[in-house]
Amino acid sequence: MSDFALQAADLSKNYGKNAAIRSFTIDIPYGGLIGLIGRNGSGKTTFMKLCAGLLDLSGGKLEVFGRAPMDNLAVLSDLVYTCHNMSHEKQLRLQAILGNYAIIFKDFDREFAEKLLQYFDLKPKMRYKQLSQGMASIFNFICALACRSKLTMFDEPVLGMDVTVRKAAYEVLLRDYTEYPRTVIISSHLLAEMEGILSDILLIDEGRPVLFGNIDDLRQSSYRIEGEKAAVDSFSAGKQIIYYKNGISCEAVIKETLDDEIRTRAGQSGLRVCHVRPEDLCIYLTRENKEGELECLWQKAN
Amino acid sequence: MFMAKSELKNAGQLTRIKLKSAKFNILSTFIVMAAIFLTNLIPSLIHMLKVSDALNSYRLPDFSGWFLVGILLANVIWSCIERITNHNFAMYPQTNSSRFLSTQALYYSWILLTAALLLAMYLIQSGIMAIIATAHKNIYLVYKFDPAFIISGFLVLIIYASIIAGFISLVTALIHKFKIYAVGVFAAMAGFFIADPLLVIKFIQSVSGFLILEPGVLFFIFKGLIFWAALFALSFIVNKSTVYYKSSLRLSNDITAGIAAACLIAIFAFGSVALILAPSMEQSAVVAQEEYPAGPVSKQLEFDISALPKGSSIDIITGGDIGFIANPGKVTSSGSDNAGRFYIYEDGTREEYPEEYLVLEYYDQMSNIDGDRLIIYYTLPLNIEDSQNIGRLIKPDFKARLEGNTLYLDYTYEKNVKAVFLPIWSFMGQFVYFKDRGITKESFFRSYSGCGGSISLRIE
Repeated sequence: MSDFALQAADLSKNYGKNAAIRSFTIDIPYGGLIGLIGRNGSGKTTFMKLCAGLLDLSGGKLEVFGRAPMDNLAVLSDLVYTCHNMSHEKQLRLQAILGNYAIIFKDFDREFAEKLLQYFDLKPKMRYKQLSQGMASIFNFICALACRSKLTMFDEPVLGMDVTVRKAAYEVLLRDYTEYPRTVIISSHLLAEMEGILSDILLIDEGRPVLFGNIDDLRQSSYRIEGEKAAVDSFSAGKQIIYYKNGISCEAVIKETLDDEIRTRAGQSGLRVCHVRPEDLCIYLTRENKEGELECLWQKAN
Repeated sequence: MFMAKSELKNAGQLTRIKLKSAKFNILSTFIVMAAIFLTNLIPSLIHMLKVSDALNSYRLPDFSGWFLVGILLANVIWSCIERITNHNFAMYPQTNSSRFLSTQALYYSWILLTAALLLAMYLIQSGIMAIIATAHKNIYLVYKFDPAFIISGFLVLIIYASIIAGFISLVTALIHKFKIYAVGVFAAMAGFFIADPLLVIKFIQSVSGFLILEPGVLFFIFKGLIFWAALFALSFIVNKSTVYYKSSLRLSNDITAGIAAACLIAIFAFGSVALILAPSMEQSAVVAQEEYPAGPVSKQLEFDISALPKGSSIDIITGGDIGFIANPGKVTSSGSDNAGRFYIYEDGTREEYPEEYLVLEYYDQMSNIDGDRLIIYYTLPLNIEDSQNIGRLIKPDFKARLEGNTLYLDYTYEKNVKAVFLPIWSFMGQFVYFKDRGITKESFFRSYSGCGGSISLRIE
């Protein structure tokens, strides 16, 4: 078996004239809790569905465990894809749906799934149509987690869950991952909540991967300086600035590994220096500067 | 060759899941069928137990016609929404082939289960009617219960239903594969149909004639299985070479194509299916009940035969189920050319032919008759329904007695007689073996004919 869970080379997927994924090249090694981060419409769901063989690619190459996933049972048997609003037969009871998963997923742990139902206060005899959005999210999360597939993909799994349930879900996910290590990809907009459990981050924007790496390395990969504009400008000259704002004070985010030397120099320049939270970094890397446009929203046309 | 073992196993697992998920729909079908069954049976039973002087015939509907219509419609609808319903199973690992096979397995399981229910309903109905007929001597079951017919009909039904499903699967697979081109071809076929329906129906008849005209059950099953296997194999091959997955679905396009395909399939299938189904549909009234005119339970006719020479003999011929003697022809008396013919019509045609009702026609003068024999013909009234003479059930009887110079003709029959038709497998008329044994009717169409009984006197 390939050492890589996922390999994509120049992958593309078009919906009619719209390109959802373009020139997507990445190698994701086996193992890890990977956060798939990106803005709305950045191609997260399309990428996951391509990996799950739910969509046919338009171009390039995609391999999961060294093989193309589309229509390939050997690959598809080892992965599970779920999202918050999975479409099940609405009349089915939760226990019946668990039974369906148990029929087809060879590693599905039904006992574990039933315990999780109890843990999250879901009654096995409830029908799927009776679930609220949050409850459906929890249930789909439980089903996918209990599959213990080598590649487990959660697409916005916590949508609709309240904060308590979300935290419990993250805890369960981390614990189960520790017990049964595998490759877990989880897409969410709530990176701040999840960064404590993630090992890696894959950031995509406009259908392309922007960065992929270990979350600790990511934390070290950039830093923020804040102070007088002249000092900020002088300090950041010749460096890769990924965010810049001149307000009451001036701040800049510089893509460079923060070390002691930099800290010392920044201090000498009268600048405050700190790490950038991964969530902020993702925003800076994927957001175009629209501050000017914001002002336009309230301007009256003559 | 076409599928790995793991794919077959996967298809089996998907089938189990789909059957579990479809149980509500299957159950709904059963409930609807049972409700229709009861709403036909109960009013019929109530009516049947009412006293009536007439000869009543009851026809409980044969649901097998509806069954084939249902199979056709359900398959067309399923084909249209298949890719939408695939969403419900998208989370499970599958391939094009295993998904196709599992869907087909679901279809055929549904067909088999529904056909089994149909059979069960017939058996229940027959059982109830048999008990009632045993308890009430005036209630008769017209058709014999024949296990060989029941089993053969069940198999033939499955074959017909499978061919319908196989045909629709093939059309659907072609549409999925060739998309707009396939729709174009079927649209052109529909155009032909609209332009010259007779030509298309003739074509369909000639294509399907090898099946729908096959008179032998075993040959039919053999041919049907081969035909179905060919349809299935073609669908499978076309489907296997088609790359589509549920998330590729562009819903609006698919629904439009699906509706177009449904219309085309329906038009195309209409010609052949209508041939089989129209009569069955006709029979599916809630209570298909015919009431024949009551007439007198007993009729006594007096006739003065004083003109007959003494010693004349009188022959009475009764009970002949020989049809209506419309014209006995010229009768020549042994002693004279002045023969006399007397017609007395005693039948149920008063409404239709009032002038012939109980008319005594007298030819020549009785006084001139010098023959020595009086022959009385009596013909049973006939009520033929689907080739079965239910007129015999009223057990008409005719007696003649002579008192002095008066000839009394007594005509009696049983009243409050109920003839119950429990038709099943109306499409079995093509099979000579059963047709010849009177177990099923000859034609799909419901037929009536008959005439009143007649009494005629012939004096020789």
